[in-house]
Amino acid sequence: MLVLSRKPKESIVINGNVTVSVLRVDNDNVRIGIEAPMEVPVMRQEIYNEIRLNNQAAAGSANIKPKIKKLVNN
Amino acid sequence: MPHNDCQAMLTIEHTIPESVSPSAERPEGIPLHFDGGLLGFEANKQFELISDEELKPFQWLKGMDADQSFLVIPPAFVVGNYSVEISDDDVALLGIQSTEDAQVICIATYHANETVTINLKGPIIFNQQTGQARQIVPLNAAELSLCHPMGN
Repeated sequence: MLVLSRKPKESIVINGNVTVSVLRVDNDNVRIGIEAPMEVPVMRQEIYNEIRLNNQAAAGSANIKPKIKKLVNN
Repeated sequence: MPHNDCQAMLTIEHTIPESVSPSAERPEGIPLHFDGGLLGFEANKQFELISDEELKPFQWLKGMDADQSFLVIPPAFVVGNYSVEISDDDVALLGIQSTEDAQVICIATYHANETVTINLKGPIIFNQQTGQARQIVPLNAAELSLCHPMGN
């Protein structure tokens, strides 16, 4: 992992098209601004992780058709 | 362009369609293209949305790049008052001109204890004119359930 020190209002440029700026530091809270092309998804890591794990759990659904069929018919 | 959490150009109030569009009845399915893949499966971009008479109102989202199928359902069959707020970037990326262009489906998970939950927090939005699709995190995600129990 690359580790850099930044002050408020300073930024980091990633790949020439993503800018991460430190807007404000307030005790243990850091406000961050992100500028990225709209096709680059930007989201909080805990939300990304929970949806990713949910997708992975759901991916094996194809072989459970008889069980879903039973559920639909009830 | 700064990302603004408070900005929402489009809110979709999802309701059960009164008539099924002709394209939904095609047996070969509706091609959907995910530029960014699904979260956790970013490499798989091409899917088909396939109706299954025996599983209505569930449908299959079948992967074309990988042997991978998801059970999906329009959220109106799950909760009565589902609405998602979509960012301007997502609206622009999907080329959505009006709310009629936008369709919403949610991924279902079958659990070992024989229950089914629906992911309302990370819905799939697609433009039914173009087939462009994206799994999004809506601006109102905090009020949406990741594992909404089905059939209750």
